Amino acid sequence: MTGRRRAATGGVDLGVTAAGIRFPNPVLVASGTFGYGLDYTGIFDPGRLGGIIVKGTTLAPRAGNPAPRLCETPAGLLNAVGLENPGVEAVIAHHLPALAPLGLPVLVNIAGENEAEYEKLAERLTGQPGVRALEVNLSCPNVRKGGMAFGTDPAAVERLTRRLRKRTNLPLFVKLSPNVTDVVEIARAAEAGGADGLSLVNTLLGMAIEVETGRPALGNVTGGLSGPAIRPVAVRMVYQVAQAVKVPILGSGGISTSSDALEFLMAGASLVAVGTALFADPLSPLKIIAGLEEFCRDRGIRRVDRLTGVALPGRGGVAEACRG
Amino acid sequence: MAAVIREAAALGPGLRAVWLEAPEAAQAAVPGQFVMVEGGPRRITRRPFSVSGIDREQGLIRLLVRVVGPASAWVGGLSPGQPVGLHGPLGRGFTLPPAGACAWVVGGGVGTAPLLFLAAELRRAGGAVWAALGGRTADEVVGADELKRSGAGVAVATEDGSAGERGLVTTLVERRLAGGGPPPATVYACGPRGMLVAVARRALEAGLRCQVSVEERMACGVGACAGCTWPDGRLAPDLALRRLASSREAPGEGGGGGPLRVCRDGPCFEVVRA
Ligand SMILES: Cc1cc2nc3c(=O)[nH]c(=O)nc-3n(C[C@H](O)[C@H](O)[C@H](O)COP(=O)(O)OP(=O)(O)OC[C@H]3O[C@@H](n4cnc5c(N)ncnc54)[C@H](O)[C@@H]3O)c2cc1C
Ligand SMILES: Cc1cc2nc3c(=O)[nH]c(=O)nc-3n(C[C@H](O)[C@H](O)[C@H](O)COP(=O)(O)O)c2cc1C
Ligand code: FES
Repeated sequence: MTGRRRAATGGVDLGVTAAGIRFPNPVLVASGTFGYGLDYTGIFDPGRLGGIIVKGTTLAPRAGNPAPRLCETPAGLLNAVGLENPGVEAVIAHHLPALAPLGLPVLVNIAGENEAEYEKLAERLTGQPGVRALEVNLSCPNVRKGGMAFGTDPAAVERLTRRLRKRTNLPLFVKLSPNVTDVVEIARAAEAGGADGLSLVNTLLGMAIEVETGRPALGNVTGGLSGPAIRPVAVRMVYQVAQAVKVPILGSGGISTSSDALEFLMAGASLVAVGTALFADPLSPLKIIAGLEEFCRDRGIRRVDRLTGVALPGRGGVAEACRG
Repeated sequence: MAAVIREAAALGPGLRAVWLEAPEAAQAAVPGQFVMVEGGPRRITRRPFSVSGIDREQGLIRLLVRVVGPASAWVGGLSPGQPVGLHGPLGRGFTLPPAGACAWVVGGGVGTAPLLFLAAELRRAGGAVWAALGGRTADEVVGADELKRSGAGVAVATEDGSAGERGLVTTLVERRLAGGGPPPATVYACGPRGMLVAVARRALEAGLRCQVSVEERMACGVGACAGCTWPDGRLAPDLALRRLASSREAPGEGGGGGPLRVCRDGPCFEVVRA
């Protein structure tokens, strides 16, 4: 109750600065679940988000994988969209200008089939109005070339990050795959290559079989698993990586409630992205933002960024965040 | 964003009619549009259900729910007073012909759901409606009584002959075409994909316009996730889908080859020869 009383006098600062970018709050929407930012406008004002990570964008347009692309599983969702997108030129010409009036940090998720394609994407997006950072997708499980093939080899991750670093002054968030034995090794490689931040995790490779027909449930056979089912894996990876790198972490993987988001922040993330939870309730990002504010207010935590990493070894838990 | 159940009733085995209090959706919905409905406390995605009827005065929309799995069982099992998460109406509905024009509606199973709303609007505008309804068994045929009450002509076919004549709904359409009566302005169809292909082929061969409502698995329902895309934009190798501009307008351009998102570009499309 004392916390609630304190709230009346001083508000909670939800703002977070990471990789040199000021985010109005730490709750973003995950790439591939929020299109190019305006599809949900009839349902809520996207201007209330902390930022928008747009759909994985490639140099040329891509039609993506055959249907069906979705399959709901216990506490999860398998998707095999296959990076359907209109290509970077259409994104620059139509989608980014439409997003600009929101005034929010926009991160463009980029995916190439080889290093040269990633470089061209980075160059093309540099200086485009509204683009505040690139999220480098080294972890898409649904395409044959590029994507996860890069993200599972530390030497390739470091080399590509270093090459991109030379091509753009935009902050680079390298998005890591959970489909590796040692995520820390990959995270260190990205940091060594010059990443300004790390996004983790992308989806876990999975599949389902429709037993009535005896056929794979997805047109692409395998797909990426997202949603609550992967959350403990993602929290564990954020917790491990946070101890090994200095750059900020953007955590994602099954975040549906403010309590889920808090787990990621406490494990060491500065920002979180909400993806699959939008499909159960499109208002979930707003509810998560409200829940974070309430959590801080009730405990007299003045700034949400005080919570980052409080669960890490040697740190003081929630009590630490309450002190400052 | 949440609607409260006003009324729920069984229409037959495994088929439920659910009326929801959703005043904005009831005002805005046009035939062929759908809503995304929460599928239960632990479901990961909301599920698409067509608006099968509206009561604008009372602000109600009706869903017809065929129970096929956990989400449809949950939606069908909701009882009056219960709130349910929902967004919509979504997607592009059917294009209506000029007031008073004659139309045919061809429904397979619960695919008849959007056609009931469509037929009601067509009848309200003074148009003549003929309906061909099909299913594997009598239990699968949806909406025959409601259509008859609205003054539509109704023909029924079932695969096992338990209602109407034995056979496929396509046979009913073929016979009607051969009968030489006044041709409809448009043939509207919703049901299994094989049925849509057969009906569209017959309609196009006869020089008639054909609009279909197609199904694909969905996650967002608003065009954001690309989960519902048909990458080739085709109903069949010889049949392309074309976006409809919006209700009450001429058919839009585009489609016919490129990727189409069923939720946003459809679910209702005009069928054209590829
Ligand atoms: C535009 C549109 C309108 C629809 N209108 C109606 C309607 O008016 N009445 C009605 O009873 N049904 C309708 N459906 C189908 C309905 O959405 C599915 O039956 C329901 O999602 C099945 O969920 P379940 O958990 O009960 O079954 P599940 O066990 O999940 O699946 C049973 C079958 O439902 C389909 N399905 C599964 N997941 C999805 C998904 N995310 N989106 C769409 N389909 C899925 C698949 O074909 C699957 O084989 C419509 C579908 C679409 C795309
Ligand atoms: C339908 C869908 C499409 C996705 N597309 C992309 C993509 O284009 N690029 C990418 O980096 N991640 C993509 N992802 C992964 C998400 O951005 C996110 O990292 C992952 O789903 C885990 O978070 P969640 O459980 O909250 O969804 C996609 C996920 C889903 C469900
Ligand atoms: S269901 Fe998400 S784009 Fe259609």
